[in-house]
Amino acid sequence: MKLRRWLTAVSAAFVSCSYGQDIPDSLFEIIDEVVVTTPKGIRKLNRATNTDLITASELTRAACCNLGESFTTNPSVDVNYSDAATGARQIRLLGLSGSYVQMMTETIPNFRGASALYGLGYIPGSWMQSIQVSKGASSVKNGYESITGQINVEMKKPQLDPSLSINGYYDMMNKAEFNADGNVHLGRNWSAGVLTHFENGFTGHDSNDDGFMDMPRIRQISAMPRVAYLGTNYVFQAAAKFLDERRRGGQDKHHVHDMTNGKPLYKINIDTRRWEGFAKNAYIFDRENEGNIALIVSGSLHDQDASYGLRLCDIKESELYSSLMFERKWNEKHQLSTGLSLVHDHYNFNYRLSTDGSGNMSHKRSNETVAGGYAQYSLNADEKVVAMAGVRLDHSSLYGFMFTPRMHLRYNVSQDISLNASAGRGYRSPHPLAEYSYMLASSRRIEIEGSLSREAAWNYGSGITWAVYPGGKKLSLSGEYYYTDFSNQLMLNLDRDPHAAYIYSYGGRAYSHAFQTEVSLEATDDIILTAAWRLTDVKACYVGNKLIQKPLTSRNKGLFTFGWSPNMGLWQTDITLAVNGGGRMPSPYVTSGGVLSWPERYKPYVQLNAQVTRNFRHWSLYIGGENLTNFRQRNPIVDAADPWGENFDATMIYGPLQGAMVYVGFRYNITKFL
Amino acid sequence: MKKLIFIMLLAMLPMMAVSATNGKDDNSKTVVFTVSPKMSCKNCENKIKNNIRYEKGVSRIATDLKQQTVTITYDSEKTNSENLSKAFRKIGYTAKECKTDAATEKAK
Repeated sequence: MKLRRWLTAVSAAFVSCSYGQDIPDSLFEIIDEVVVTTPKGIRKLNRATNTDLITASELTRAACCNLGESFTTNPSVDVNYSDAATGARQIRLLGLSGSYVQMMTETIPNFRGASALYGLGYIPGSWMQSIQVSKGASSVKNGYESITGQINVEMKKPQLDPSLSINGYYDMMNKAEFNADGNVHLGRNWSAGVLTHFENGFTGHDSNDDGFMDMPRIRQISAMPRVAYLGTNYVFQAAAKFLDERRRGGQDKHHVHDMTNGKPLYKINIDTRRWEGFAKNAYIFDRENEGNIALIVSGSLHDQDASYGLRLCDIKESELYSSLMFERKWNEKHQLSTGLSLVHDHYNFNYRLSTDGSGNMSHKRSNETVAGGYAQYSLNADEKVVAMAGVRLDHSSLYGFMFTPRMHLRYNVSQDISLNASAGRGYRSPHPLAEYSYMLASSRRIEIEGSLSREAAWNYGSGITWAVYPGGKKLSLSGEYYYTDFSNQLMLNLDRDPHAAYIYSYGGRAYSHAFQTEVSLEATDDIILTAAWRLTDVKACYVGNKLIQKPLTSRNKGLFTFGWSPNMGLWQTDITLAVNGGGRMPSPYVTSGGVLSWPERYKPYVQLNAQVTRNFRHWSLYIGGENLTNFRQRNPIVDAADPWGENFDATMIYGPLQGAMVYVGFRYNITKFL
Repeated sequence: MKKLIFIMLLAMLPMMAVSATNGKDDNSKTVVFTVSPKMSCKNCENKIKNNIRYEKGVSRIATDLKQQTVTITYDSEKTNSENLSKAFRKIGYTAKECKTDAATEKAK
């Protein structure tokens, strides 16, 4: 009787704390290490790296239909639409393209290559448990690919309290979404769960009457079954995921009227099938010192068939990742982590890039195997000084050796003041067709010049956070600065020729300075106000030898949020106001009419989102609106009247394409507490 | 249509304001509990807060990881400390009332 009660208590603590305190963090995120330096809202982790934690409850403050929409209240990450026709969402961190951010799901690198473009739409909001955003060069454990930072998404795990969750969403654009996930415990050690998602955009909209759908219609189905085994000395997790997505964009016959002049409609079709799987094993040989050996194996098969008018690009990508890690702590102060990894990427491209469909299909194959090892030492001196230093050495079958040193330091001056600094190197293998396939939604010639070498950059950062208490209220302030310096960059140059997109390895000067400040005030027990401002200076030599700003990147961004959750959070209101500064458009040309094809710069614009949620024991109802100021980029598509002509370009997007939009939804949850 | 929905959204704000002021009356009492198993991290605190808040009559919940206490303010006409203990049991915790005056004062 006593034993059973003890076991129940232990397993309750184990599971109720969601991740357990002594499970190595190669397998589980240790949430109990969070030190809340900002009030509610976005929390910073007390790690050597500069990491923000966004929890599931944070994600309920906005529509957050998928990962791509989960950064609306985070001033560090921008999410933009890459082009008007495919709706590919790109994130930006420190002013640089999302391809320099290492995306991970459950600490396994994911969404590399072809899936990077649409990957943000592959993780539904309701599946996510938390998101960690690390800025600057991150830990060497996960590879050499993070240059500006790392984003790790943890999904709901089967070892949590058994529950069933259902979520339904519907918006004014006639898009419906349905999510369901559940998990059960099978015996003392095993647990299993499944997460499912369905979405469909039923109709296309053309609010600016250019004949093109503002956003592509997307139909997506995905499912992720998973299991976990938590033993005393052995821990196992495995999951598989299947996704099927159809995107339909371009000219819509309902909206195009008489504009086509007898020519066929310009359509964009992107069909994707993706399979993913992973297995994590850890053998804990020394529980007291968190000593463990872990083996992580994951793989994915990505099959994407795309047509942009008559331009075709089919990509089949397969990837295998394996990592063997050894970790141990010494008296809570020192930790050593070493490991080996083997990654293989295989790409198969079939494409025909001519805008009129002439010519034969081209084929290209690419195989890259990278073997590497790392060693990382961490120091935690009474939570006062947290430091991490690591080195990695990898050998790529295509690009040779890569040496990656990284260093992170955090100094907690007091309970209220913390300083951090970091420096590190990062590399990326170039895959132009996979990363820039959205450029095909235009008549620009795609010119891939010369032999492409891998990208490499150094990243340095520093920051400070401190809390003051004016009138007893907590006011948190933070400031940070990051500098990224590329020694080699895969450059997409839209300036050299307005009718071409040049892609080449650029070894000249290219850098990004990013400076950000954030203020957060707990005005009352129920109200939080935050304000943030970010300045980014991203330059390279796009035309000649002069350093100019990167196009389609705002220099300034301001973000204000208001969160009110009275009555213990039974009601929640969240309002977000984003002010995006102006920026440079790619070099225009003079049309036959004697005017510029498009303005040289774009003006600042404002975006307003709001949501009200009412929480009940088992239900949540929410209603909200996005882009309530109804700002839309004017004429996002160049020469929309003649998509088969040589001036057509749907890729020069700097702002929202959809006007004001209202949505409603519900969440239902029943949980059986152990 | 868009304007109508926007106005509906704004209309919900006064509704929230009204509900926020509820529960502040003369029958409110405060009780301090210690729980077992202990609250080891923020997730445990949230689990307790997010479930106990739905109990009838509860108007305020505060948790303290250091002190390992949960302080609940409730309407004595709608519920009592025994019902609140039951609520803890429903989510897997055993709650014991802290009867010392010092604890109540500290929690305030």
